[in-house]
Amino acid sequence: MKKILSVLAWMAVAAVGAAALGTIAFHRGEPINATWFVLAAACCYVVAYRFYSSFIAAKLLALDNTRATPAERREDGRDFVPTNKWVLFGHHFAAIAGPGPLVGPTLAAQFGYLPGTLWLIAGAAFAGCVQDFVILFCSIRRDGKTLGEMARQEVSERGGFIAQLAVLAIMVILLGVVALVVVNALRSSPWATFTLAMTIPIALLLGIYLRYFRPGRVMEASAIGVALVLFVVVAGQWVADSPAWAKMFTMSGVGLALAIIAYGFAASALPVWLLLAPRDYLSSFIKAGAIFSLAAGILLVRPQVLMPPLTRFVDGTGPVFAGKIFPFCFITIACGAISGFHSLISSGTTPKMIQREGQARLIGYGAMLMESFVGVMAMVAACAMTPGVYFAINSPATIVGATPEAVSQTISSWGYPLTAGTMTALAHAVGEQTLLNRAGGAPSLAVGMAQIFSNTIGGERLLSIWYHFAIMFEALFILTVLDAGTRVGRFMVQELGGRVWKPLGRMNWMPAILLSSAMIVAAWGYFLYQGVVDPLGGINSLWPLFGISNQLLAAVALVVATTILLKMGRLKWIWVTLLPMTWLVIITMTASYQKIFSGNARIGFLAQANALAAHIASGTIAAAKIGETQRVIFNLRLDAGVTAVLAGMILVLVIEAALQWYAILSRRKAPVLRETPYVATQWAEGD
Amino acid sequence: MRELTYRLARSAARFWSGVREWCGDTAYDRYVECAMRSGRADPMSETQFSLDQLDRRYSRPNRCC
Repeated sequence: MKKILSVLAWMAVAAVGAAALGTIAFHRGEPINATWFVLAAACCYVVAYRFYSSFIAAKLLALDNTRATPAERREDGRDFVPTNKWVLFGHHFAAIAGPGPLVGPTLAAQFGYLPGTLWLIAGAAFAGCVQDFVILFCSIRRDGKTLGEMARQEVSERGGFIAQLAVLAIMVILLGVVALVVVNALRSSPWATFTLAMTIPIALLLGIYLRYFRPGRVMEASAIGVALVLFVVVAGQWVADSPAWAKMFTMSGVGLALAIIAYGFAASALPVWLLLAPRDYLSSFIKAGAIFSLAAGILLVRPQVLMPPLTRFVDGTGPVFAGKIFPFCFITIACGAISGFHSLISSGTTPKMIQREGQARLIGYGAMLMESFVGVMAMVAACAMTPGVYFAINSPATIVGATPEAVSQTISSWGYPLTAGTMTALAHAVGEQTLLNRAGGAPSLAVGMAQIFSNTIGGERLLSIWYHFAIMFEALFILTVLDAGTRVGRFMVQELGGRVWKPLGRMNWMPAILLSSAMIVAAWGYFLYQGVVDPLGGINSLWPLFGISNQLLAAVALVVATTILLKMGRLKWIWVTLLPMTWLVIITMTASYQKIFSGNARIGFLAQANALAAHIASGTIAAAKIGETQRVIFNLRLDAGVTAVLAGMILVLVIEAALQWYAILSRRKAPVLRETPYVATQWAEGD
Repeated sequence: MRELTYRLARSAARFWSGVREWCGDTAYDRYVECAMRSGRADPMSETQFSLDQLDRRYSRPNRCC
């Protein structure tokens, strides 16, 4: 009887999910309520978790709760610490959830809500969660080895080297791109700039408090920090209202880029307790609070989604970024559907803290489902504003114009009605001078979030406070990724550089620290600067590059996972990782090819460089602008080169792995699996 | 009613201890406990431990995009 009831309940969940998905897929004409998105996503996730993840756990991985995990065998209270599964779930989720699932879906909303939403749900269930889960399992079985180490041991030496290079490449591109998102959000906004600038002294204060007054009292210090941050969000309005202070905090794109580069250098070179760690604590609390508030706000307000399911820009002519749904929707939404970077977390701290193999399902598969849900909420927030407003905020001036009149005229001509007064009034309501041409996703997401929050608490009166709270949340979030990433990048540069020049590898030698910090900051700073001076707003060229590098790393992770599963003799179920791997290789290769060779100057780096070179040759560019244009041409050719190297790396790895699979399947080579030997757990069931 | 109150209090206590663990407030206690169990002589002081943990945590990828 119980079983029948269970079957009926699951059938009901599946039916509701299918009905909700059908509604959002086939709805046409009128706006659709956001509740359908929440229902569709929640039901699909619950069904995927209950059935697909348990199938993977039982058939593909054969998780074994009698086997001692590294946390049990090697417990040392430092790295290997057995941790309650819900606490570890929180740790893992906080580590994987960055700005990507917020920004990517917001940018992909230019195709309409449907492609991005479907990719977020299906991509997570069949690719992203699978990658995180399987890599976590593989690392648990190898004493918490990293992805690079597993690639070296299980695929080949070259595979390990490629994985290491891919991590460094993605780190550099990622940091440049996310910094650009911050620059575009803060440009000409004294309120937002002041709020974010104040988080630096607040973090320093917390660092000193934790170091000298109350060591280890993270929660207490963070509570003080969060209160101070909320105060400076409100205080930002006073700064914006004061002409003298507003002038001091009104910065151009180049000025902000230089300030962020200086900040990244300082965060990398200063002691970690002083700036980096306290900022991370602050960011974690505010991140958790903002994400839960957004979910609660969407459920309470149930906003109407005003963006159509498909816009006219599915043909690849979109103003936010150029290119058709395939492959660019799948490149633009990386985190939220599948992110290669997660495989570094799944093979980093988490496998060293897990108590039982069986918990890998909740932590690996479950946490990624939750991240995907964050992506769906970001999509709802972006699509809840009128399409005209969305395009006015996210389109660069070179496409839509720079004045309210020009912008409204261009966007209205696309079939998305917008008046100049609407944008002026909206900018005034959120306390900004202008919201036009703020590419990058963060400002439009902040507007969407602020509208949802203000409909829950405070109404129109608090719209400006909510907007700046959302901007602060996104920027704080991003700067945390930036400073933590810069420091990790510095270690990688020291590790790699130490092979060439030994003193560079000395982790405690100040000149080596300063030199390697300068090298990594210069690398991502270059991409940031290039984005800031790009006439198309930078996001158009750099976000796809970031997507390609992130998906490249995901392909590396799935190649490693497939190789290990093949060696484990799981040929029958190998499609679980092989299909998402193939899909990723196809989209990465197609996107790379188009970004390099497309004849459309808005898509292809080389075509755009050639078009600009032709303009210089024909004399249509003013003499004063020739130097600047030549720099843009160089940057475009560099981007084409970087894309080609990334694509080349994945091709080498796939060929290398395929040769090994062939050798194993044709029995020319015996599969050698480098798992740690089985040790029975000493913990009782339920420990 | 008493049973319900007891259960609620227990759940709240568990939640609170989970939050403290998530924040890292209990990390040093766990380290000392582990050091005692394994008979490690001269465990680090709380300040040394905090600095050591931070250095280790922020020398590998620990925050995603």
